Amino acid sequence: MIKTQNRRQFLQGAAGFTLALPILDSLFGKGADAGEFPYATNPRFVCMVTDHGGVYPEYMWPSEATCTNATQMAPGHDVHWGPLQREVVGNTARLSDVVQGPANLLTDTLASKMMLVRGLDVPFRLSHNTGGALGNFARSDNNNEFNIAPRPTIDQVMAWSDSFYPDLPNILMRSMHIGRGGDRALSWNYSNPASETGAIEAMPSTNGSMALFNQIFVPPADPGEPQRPPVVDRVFESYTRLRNGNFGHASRLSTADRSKLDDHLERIFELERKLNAVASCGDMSAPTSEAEDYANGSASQNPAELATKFQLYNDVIVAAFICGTSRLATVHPVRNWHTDLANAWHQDVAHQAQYDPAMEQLLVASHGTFFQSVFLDLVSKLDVEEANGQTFLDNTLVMWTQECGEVTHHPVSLPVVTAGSAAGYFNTGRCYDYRNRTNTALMPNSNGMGEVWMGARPGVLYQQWLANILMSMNVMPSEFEHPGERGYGDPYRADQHSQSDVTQSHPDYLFDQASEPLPFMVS
Amino acid sequence: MHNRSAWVLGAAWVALAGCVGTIGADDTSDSGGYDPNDSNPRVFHCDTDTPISASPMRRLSYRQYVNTLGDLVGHLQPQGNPAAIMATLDTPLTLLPHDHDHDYRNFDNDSSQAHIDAYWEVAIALAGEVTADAARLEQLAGSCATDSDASNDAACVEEFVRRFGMLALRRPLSDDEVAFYAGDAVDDPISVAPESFAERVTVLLQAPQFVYRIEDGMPAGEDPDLFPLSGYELASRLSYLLWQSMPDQELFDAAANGTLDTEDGFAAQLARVWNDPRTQVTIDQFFSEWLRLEELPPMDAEMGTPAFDAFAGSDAPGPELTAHMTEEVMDLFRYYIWNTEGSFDDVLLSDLSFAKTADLAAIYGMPPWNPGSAPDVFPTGQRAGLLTRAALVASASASTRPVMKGKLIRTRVLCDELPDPPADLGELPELAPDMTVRERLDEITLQPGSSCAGCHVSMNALGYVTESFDGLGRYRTSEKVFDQEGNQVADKPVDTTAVPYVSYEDDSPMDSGLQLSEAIADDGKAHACLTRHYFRYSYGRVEDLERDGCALEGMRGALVDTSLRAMLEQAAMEEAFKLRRRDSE
Repeated sequence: MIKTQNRRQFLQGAAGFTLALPILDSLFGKGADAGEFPYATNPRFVCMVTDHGGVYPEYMWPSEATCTNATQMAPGHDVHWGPLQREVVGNTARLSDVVQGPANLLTDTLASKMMLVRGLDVPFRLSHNTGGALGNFARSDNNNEFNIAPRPTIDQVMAWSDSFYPDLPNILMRSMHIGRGGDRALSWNYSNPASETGAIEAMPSTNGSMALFNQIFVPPADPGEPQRPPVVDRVFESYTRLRNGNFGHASRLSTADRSKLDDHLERIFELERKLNAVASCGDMSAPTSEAEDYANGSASQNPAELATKFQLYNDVIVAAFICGTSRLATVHPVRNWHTDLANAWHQDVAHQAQYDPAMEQLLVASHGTFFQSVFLDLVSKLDVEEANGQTFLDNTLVMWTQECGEVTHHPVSLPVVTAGSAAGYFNTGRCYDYRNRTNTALMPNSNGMGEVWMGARPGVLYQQWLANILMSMNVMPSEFEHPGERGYGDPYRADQHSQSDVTQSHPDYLFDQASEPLPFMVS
Repeated sequence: MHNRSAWVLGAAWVALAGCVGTIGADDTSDSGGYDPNDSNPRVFHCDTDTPISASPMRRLSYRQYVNTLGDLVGHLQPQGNPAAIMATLDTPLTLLPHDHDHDYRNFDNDSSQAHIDAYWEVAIALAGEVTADAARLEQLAGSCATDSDASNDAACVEEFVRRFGMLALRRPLSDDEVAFYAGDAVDDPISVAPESFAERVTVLLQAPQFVYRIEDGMPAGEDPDLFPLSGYELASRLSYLLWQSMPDQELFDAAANGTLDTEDGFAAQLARVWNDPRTQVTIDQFFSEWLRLEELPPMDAEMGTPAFDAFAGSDAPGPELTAHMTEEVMDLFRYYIWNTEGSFDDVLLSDLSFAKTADLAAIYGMPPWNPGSAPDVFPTGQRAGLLTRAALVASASASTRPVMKGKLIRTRVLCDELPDPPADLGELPELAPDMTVRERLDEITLQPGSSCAGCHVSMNALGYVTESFDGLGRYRTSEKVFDQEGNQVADKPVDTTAVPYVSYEDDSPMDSGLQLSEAIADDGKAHACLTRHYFRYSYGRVEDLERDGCALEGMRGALVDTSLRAMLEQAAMEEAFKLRRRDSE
C-alpha cells in the first residue's frame, strides 16, 4: 500500500527555511492530513532559466579532480563523472562557487539528489536566447539567417502528450509559466496545440501568484449545491454558431478569422476538460501574499524582494504538485540578481565578464543569488515525503540552466544543475562531464567558429539532454523526433546551414546518438 | 578624442550606407514628391485604385477588455458601486496575459489558453457579483427578476438578454440570438433565479462578439472582399480607437437611427467622442508608447550608491520623479492638442515648462507650473523642445546614455531602421577613469575600421547634442565624473557639437537640442514618422505604404497643414476607417 504524504512531515520540511511569507504553512489548513494528498505516479518537470550565463567553469563546476570516473563514449571521446562532494564552511555548504547555500538547506541528502552537468553544447551560435533552453532554437535573436524553424518546446511536447499525461482528470493546468513572457518566453507551442496547427506562439506567463493558486486548487465541492447545465457548453456553441453562420454573415469571415475561431474552440474544449477535473487538497487555504506586489518600480532589482516574489511562485508550484493538479512549470525570472545597477547589465557586465574579472564576479554573485533564493528554495520545499519513502522531489526533475554557456553568447557547455531523479530515471548525486577533454578543435562561438577559450572542449549535444529529459518523462523518441533528426531541437548541421563547420568539434556520432540515454546518467 | 570624432565624420557617409537600408534612395524631399523606392518617405502616395489593407478580426486588448468590463458594470449596476464590483475582479484579471509591446500593445492579437481561462474566471466572478443579492438582481434585470410572479419569467429573461446582449455584443441581437442566449437553444428550462441570470452574463461575456471585434460589414459592392461597416461597427471602431472601450448610449443611438452613417452625423459623433476625457487617456497612451516612456528607469534606483549620491547632490530623486517626468511630457502634448491646437513643430520646439511638481521643477531650475496658469518659459539657450525634456534625456544614473537617446530619435522619431547589434561586442578598450561619457563612447563605439562605428555614428551624435543635460535631466555646461566611491575625478566642459545626420544628406554640425529639434522640424521625416506611428496605434497593425497610402497621406497632410490634433482626428475620418477588407486568400 502506498504511503501517503503526512502533513506534519510536509510542514516540517517546508518550515524554517522559507525566507518569506506566506510559505506553504499558510496554504494548508488544520484539516489536511495524510490521506487527502494524491500522489503522482508519473514524474514532474520544472525548468528555470536565468539570463546571460557566462559563468566561468571554475566558478560553475566542481573541480575536475572530483569528476574522474571515465568511460569511452566513442573512440577518442571519454566522458567522466564523480560524486558530488559538499564542502561545509561555517553555515555554508557548497558544491561550487555558484552552487552553494545555507548548510541546513543544501544538505548531504539534497546533494545526493542533484546533478551538475557540464559539456552540453548547442552546435551553433546563440544570440539572445530564451526558447533554446527547451528546444525552440528559433527564439534567439539573429538566428533567422540559420533558417531554424520554430517548434514547440519540450515542456509543451510533454503537456500535450498522452505519455506524460496519461490521465487528465486531476490536471487543472497542463503547464504553468512564471516570469518573463512574450518574445522572451521560455515556452512555445502551436496556437492550436491539440491539433498541432497554427503558428508557434509564446506561452503566456502568469501575472499573479494568487490567481495561479486559484487555478491549480479546486475547493471541495459542496454536495448540496444544485447542478446547473454546463455553461461552458453554451460558450462553445456560441462560437460554433458564429463559425457556421447561424448568427449571420459567416461567409464574410476570412480564412484567418475562421482559423482564429477554430483555435478558440479548441481552447474551450481544454477549458471544459479542466472544469470537469476533480481535484482537491483538503482544506488548503489561499495564500495571503501576492507575488506581483514584490520587486516593482525602484525595487525591481532588489534581490531580497525578488527572492520573496519567486518564492511565492514556488509555493504555488509545490502546491500544484502536491495536489496533483499540474506536473509542469517553467520559470524565467528577471535578468540579474544583484544590487549592482550598472546601466546596462547585459552589455556592461555580461559582455565584459570575459575581459574584466570584476564583472565576472558580478555574474557569479548574481547566478549564485538566484540558486540560493529560488532553485534551492523550490527543491527544498519539494523534498518532503510523497510515498514509499520517496519525496515529491524524487519524483520530479527540477532543472536550472542559463541563456548562454561559459561565455556570454557562446553556446558551449550550457550549465545544467538539477535536483530530483524524475522518479528514479537519473543517477543523481553526481557531477557529469561530457566534454571530450582531448578534442582541441575550434568550436562554435558568438561569431561562428572560433578559438578555444579557457581550455574549453566540445561535449555532447544539448539536444541529447533535451531528449533525455523527454524520455525521463515517459515521452519516447517516436513521439518527439522529427524526420531525419535525432534528439530534440534543430541539430543545425553544417551541411544544412552555412555558418559553422562543426564536423571536428561535434562529429557525426554525437548527432547520431542524440536520442540515446546519456552515458552514466540514466539508470 | 576629437580626432576620432573627426575620422568618424569623414567616414560617416560610407559607414551609414552599411547600416541603414534607406541610404541610396533618391532625395525627393525638395520636390515634395513620393519615391516608391524609399522605405522611409517624407510624403505618402495615395492611389485610390489600390485596394486598402485587410483588417483581420481583433481580440480586445487587455486595456480594452478591462475598460469594456468597467463600462458594462456601470450599465448593469447604475445605482450600485461599479468600482467596488470591478475591484472584485482584480485577482481573476491577473490571469489575463498582458499584451506584449511589439511596437504597440494594440498589435498583440495572439490568443492563448490563458486568455480563454481568464475570460472564464472573470465572467464567472462578475456574473456572481452582479447577481449577488436581490437589489443587484433587480438593477440587473428589473423587478420581474425578483417578484413572485412566475408568468413573466420567460419574458423577463428574454428582455434581459436582449438588453444586456446589445451592450455586450455591441449591436442588437437577432431573434435567433436572443433565443439562444436566453436558453432555448440548449433546452434549459428558464427559471428566474440568480443563477439563471448569472449564467447568461457568463456566456455573453465570453461570446465571440464580446472578446473579439468581429466586423461583418454591410453587403459588398463590386469588390467582393470590401465591406462598408455598419453603423454599430463604426460606433465600435470609433469608441475603441479613442476610448479603448465600448460605445456609449449616444453612439449606439446614432448607429440605430442611421445618423452615424452620414458624413455630418459621423463628424458630430467624432467631435463628441474626441472631447470626452477618455480620449485624452488614449492619446496619452499613444505618446507614451511612441516615445517608450514606460521604459524610463526609476530615478531613485541608484540612490544609496556613493557615485550616484554624490552626483545627485541636493536633487536626490524620490520614487515619484520618474512619473513626474513622464507626466510633464504628457502635459506638453496635452497643451498643444487641447489648449492651443498647436502643431507638431510647436511640440518639437516648445520652450515652455510643464513641470507641475517641485521635484521636477527643481531639476529644471524653474518654479512649479500651475496648470491653471500660463506655463513659464525656460531660460534662453538652455532647454527647448520635446527632445530636451527630462523624460527624454534622463538616465537615472550618474552617466548619460547618448546611444540610447540617439537610438530612440533615430528609430522612433525619424523611423530610420537600425540592424541588431552584433552578439559579441568584443573587448572594451582601456578607458581612463576621468573620461566623460562622450569620450568613453567614442573609444568604445567609434574605433576606426570597427563594425560598430557604421551604426553608432547614426545614433551617438543624435545623443551628443543633448549632452548639456545630465542623468537626472539637469542643464549643465560641464560634466562631473565620479568614481565608484563617489569621489569627483574630473570636471570637463560638455562637448555637444556633433553631426547628427537628421537627413543623411545633411552633414551640418549642431551643438544643442534646440538646433537638433529645428532640423527635425524642418526635415519632414519626423512628420511622416509620427503619422506612421499613429496609424499603427489607431489601426492596430503595421502600415502598408502602398495600400494604406491614402490614409497615411491624409493624416500627414492634416499634421503638416493644420495641427497635431487634426492628424489625430483625421485617422478616424479616412475612408479606410469606415471599410473592412477581408483577406481573399
